[in-house]
Amino acid sequence: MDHLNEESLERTPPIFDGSWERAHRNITTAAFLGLIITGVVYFYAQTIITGILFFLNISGTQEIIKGKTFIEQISHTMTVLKNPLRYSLIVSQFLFMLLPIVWIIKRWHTIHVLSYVRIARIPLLELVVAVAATVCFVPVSGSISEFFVTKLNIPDFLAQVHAQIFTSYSSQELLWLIVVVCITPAVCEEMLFRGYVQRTLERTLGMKSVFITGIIFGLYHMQPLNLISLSCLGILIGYFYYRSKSLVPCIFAHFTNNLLAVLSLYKTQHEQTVFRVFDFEITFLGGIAALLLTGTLVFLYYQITKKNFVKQFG
Amino acid sequence: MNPPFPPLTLGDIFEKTFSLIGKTFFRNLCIAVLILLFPIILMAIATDDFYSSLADMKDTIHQVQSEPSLDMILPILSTLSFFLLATFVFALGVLFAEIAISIVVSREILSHPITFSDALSEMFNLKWLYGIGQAVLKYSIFIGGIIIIGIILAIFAALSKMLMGLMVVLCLLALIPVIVYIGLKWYFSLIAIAVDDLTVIESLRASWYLVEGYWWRTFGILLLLSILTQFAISIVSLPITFGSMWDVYKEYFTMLGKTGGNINPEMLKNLEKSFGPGIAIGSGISALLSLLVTPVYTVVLYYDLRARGNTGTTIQQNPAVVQDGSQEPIDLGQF
Repeated sequence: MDHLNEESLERTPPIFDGSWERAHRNITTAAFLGLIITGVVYFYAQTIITGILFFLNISGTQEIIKGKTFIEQISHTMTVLKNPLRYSLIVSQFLFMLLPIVWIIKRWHTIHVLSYVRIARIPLLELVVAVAATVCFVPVSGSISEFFVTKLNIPDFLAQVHAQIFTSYSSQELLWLIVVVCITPAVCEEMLFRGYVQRTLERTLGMKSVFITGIIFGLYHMQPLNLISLSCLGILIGYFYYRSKSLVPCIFAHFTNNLLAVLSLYKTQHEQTVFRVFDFEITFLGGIAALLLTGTLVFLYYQITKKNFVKQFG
Repeated sequence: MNPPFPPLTLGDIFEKTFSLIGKTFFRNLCIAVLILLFPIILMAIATDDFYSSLADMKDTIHQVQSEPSLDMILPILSTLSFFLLATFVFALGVLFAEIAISIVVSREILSHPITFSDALSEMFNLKWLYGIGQAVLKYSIFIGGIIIIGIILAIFAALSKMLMGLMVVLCLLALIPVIVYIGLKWYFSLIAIAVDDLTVIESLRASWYLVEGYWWRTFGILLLLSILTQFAISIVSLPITFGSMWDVYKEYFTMLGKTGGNINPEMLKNLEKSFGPGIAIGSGISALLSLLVTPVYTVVLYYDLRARGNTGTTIQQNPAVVQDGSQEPIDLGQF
């Protein structure tokens, strides 16, 4: 344990002694191949788990939804399926995203996984600025997604049905959702995208890795309407990783982004929103202001990381 | 001729494939776009026509409240034949692009890089004809086999219905592995034509013996590579496909909003009419992306298998290719 702590919390470069490194293979290939292998394992496993849970839970609902309207039918189905979907998400992310990527790092690159992905201490100020920049970016990403939702004329009821999986009606459910939707992706997705893909690409591509990984992060979510906002978020989080050489601000930034979404969907039994997180119409000027604020905080992040920043290749 | 590299491990295959995709990307993209642009447009028009006439026929049947007559079916048949023709042109385009891309990749491996226009002119110098020939021969044999089995089944059906049921199950069980086995044995025939300038029969023979002794290995690697490739393609092509069907989705969601989710089939008719181009463009883009990867790993595997079976006979090549200096007569190993 001491060995782990010492190794993980300091910004020391790991010893590259894995099979891929020993064979002096192309590092960029490793990044893309690792990403695709993990993606295949994760998506197939999640589809199978969701499918099984779907069939186990859906059989009882067929009788209930007979004769109901379309909205009532999908709303009821979603209510029945939201917990199985949450279980499948948590199981898939830990077992089929986190474990494969840890295995790939151990086998191909180094046994010092935490050191490779850079679980390293950072000053508190860096963490605070990263979280603040993410908070400011939420209205921007929200308005980008909203723009496409409006352009496509997606009806409100459909958006509400989709949001059910992230909606909580009690403090216990809220806590459970924080574990499922905030902590799990913050750890597992950050390990994959920043900890492995960006870290590995950075060794050969430097700053370009931030943009490439950000776009891949957007594409991987398979949500065409959120592609731009997710890619921008990916680039923002990637920049924190690039500057700080630590996964910690990325995990906190990702957690914050998802937490705000979950809190905004925390409701009472009477469908009253408990926390009014950005519960206002975002105007064009408001969006620009949020973007400028994010930009200012990113610049501040650049300034405060200047001293410790190492242009690390390798 | 010595193979360009020794037998490869799985890691080497991945590494070579990725590196070659990077090195040949723009040339391969030019080839794929130049060859597939017209077939994709044709497919979009044909699919649009087909879906529109299908929707019109349904509409007419609904209005007249009668069984479909010949007058109603004729427009469908004409759009269907146009659709089949467009599909055929598209398949030919994919075949030609695969040959030309394989030429580019193989020359890159042999350290004699060529431009995309040179690869195209080389492909149009008989190789395209051999490519069609091997495809026709392969599929004729498969279809012929299926027809023979069908005749046998019909004979059994005449004797007893129960016997026929049993035979159908047995034939299906036997047919699938046989098709997979032979299909894999002939998998490299197109690459043999593109890379080694072999004729139709020679290419099938070359591919057959190349896989000999390495069937399971080749099957496993190809399966793995195709799963990984398809996943990567689907990730990239999803937003493009979504974008190409934007109007259809918009119309659908507008209807959902107006009706509170209770859309009746009547309302979907207009939507059906606009399906076509989106589907064709989506599948065209997927095929285009696939062409940037699939021929690359197939050529790498081809050279790997040649390195593994490099023990003897030499097959004479087209002298033009030998004179060109880019390739020498190949040692086809166990052939």
